[in-house]
Amino acid sequence: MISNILWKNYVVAFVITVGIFSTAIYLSNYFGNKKIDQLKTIQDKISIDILSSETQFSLLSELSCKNISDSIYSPELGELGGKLEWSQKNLGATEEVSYLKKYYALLQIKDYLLAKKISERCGVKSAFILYFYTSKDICSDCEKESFVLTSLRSKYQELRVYSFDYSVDISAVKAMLQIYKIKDTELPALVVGDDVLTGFHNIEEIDLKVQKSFKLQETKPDGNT
Amino acid sequence: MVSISDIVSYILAFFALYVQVFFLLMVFKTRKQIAGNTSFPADVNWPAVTIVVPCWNEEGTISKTVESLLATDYPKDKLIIKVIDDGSTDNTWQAVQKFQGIANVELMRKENGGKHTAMNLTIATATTDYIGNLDADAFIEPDTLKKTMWQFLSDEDMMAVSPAIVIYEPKGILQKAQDLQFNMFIPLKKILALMNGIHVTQGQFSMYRKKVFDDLGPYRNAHQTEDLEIAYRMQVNGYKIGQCHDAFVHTTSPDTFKDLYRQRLRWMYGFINNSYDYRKYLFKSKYGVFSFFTIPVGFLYIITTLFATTAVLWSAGSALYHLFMRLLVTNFNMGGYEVISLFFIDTRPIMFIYIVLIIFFIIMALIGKAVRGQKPIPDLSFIFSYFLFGLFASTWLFKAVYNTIVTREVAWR
Repeated sequence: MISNILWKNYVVAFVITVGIFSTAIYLSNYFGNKKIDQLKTIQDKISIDILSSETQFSLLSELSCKNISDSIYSPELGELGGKLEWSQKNLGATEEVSYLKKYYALLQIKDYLLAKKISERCGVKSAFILYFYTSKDICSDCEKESFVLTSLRSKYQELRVYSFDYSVDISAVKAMLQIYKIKDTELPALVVGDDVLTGFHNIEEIDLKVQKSFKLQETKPDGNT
Repeated sequence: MVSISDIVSYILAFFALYVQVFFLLMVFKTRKQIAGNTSFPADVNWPAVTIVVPCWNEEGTISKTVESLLATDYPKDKLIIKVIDDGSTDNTWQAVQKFQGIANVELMRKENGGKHTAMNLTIATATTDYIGNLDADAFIEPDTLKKTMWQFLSDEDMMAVSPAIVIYEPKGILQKAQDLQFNMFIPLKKILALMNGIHVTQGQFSMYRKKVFDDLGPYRNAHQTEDLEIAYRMQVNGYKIGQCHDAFVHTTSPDTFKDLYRQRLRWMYGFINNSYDYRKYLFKSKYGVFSFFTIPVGFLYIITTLFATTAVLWSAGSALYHLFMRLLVTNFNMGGYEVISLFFIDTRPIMFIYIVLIIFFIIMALIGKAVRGQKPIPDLSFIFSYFLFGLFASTWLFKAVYNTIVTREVAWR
């Protein structure tokens, strides 16, 4: 009797299994979309922050650098970068994530230009590193370099690191690559002050460059205060 | 980008889930048979049976094994116990001398030649229509023999019957994990029996009609797993194998990882190599569930466990390597730590499948406990069994596969 209904049970078990699999895929998509929504929200907030900073900066040009607020930099920029990298690895390179990465690259460039202006004009102690890496190919040196930069960023509060994925297809990033003459065979690449460094550079080397960058700033005449 | 590893893990997860769903479905559909107890009339004319107890260096347990046979409620004049010492080098022979003189106990001694030779020697001279064997480290309950024999009397097509194996007085996490595993096997084996798909008639008190050996020949060495091979031979010849889920046999179990490793290595090596020897019978409808389901599921278990362990070890190794590299390139000052956030919880489909697999495992373990007559409450052995036993199992599975490739036979213990 059992043998007669066996094939039916094989089929029923298969249908249930497909059902569980489909539910798992649905749940995964649901939570994936929630995460992308969360990324968009952060992105929007950064966008507003930068716009607000730019406006504040425009106002300041007519006033004094004394009024510059600490909140001029968008604190979510670093957090968003980490979440985007994670999303690309775990949610897959979906269109949304690719779009958000492009947008993020633009926000970084805007933040970089603004922060540099503020630094030059108001003499705010700061150093900037532009970091180019790739997520398209395996780049263990890129990973090591990012560890070095994370460590230095925690050492120097005034150090701002902007990371750009070489493979992000956006003209603004391409323009930066052209300006600094960076090729995909030389990644990771770093721009520290006026120096362009390619390949992996250890923490001592980068640390010296950052300190040099701070010193150069100190020797420059103060901006219009 | 989807990697080959991802594709393999999803395929394996699908089949693993399918097997779990199938078993749970069958447990639900056969719940009356699984929950039911064996009952028989009071005036049954029980047939004569021969129970062989082959032993090799079992001085610590042999007395208890024979005593459990003597304590059975089966008619004494219908029970012949043959204890055969397969060339023990310890005091096994001395230990069994106390049974000398008991009417239905026969003691024999021979040169060491392996369990199958001891079994065959007694089978050749057996005068009863039913023959069983009991490993010298296992003990039956008083009603085990009657319940098992009733399966033959109530079904004339039944050719072999195995009782339910449980761990004797499990102590420590390793034995408790084995206890949980064996309890889970009871309903699973019952389902396989109902589907006529059993692939092993274990040495712990499996009973046979003598006709099986008369027709199919004696036990073979079969890579030290003669109990597996005889079941394969029966299946491919259309001989029915049953299971009596409420007739219990208690077996002593390894209490160290080393002993467990040796035991399981022998089992898995035997499974792989006997399946290979019988490969021409696989995936053929003529040989039914045994051919299409039981053996493939066994291989699915091996492949899934090895793949999962490799993946876990790879991930752990990779994480450690990255941590080490990070410490090295930052002069042991990593600086920023990743913010702990719900955002970083892995929500890939495979994670939900794993959760379902864990839930199904817990349900099967609870059913196993219930069938065994224990309270169906999870305990620590659940965690150990699920997460660590798989890792442990990989050691003997890897070795069994390796030994198969380089054709190295394994030792009994």
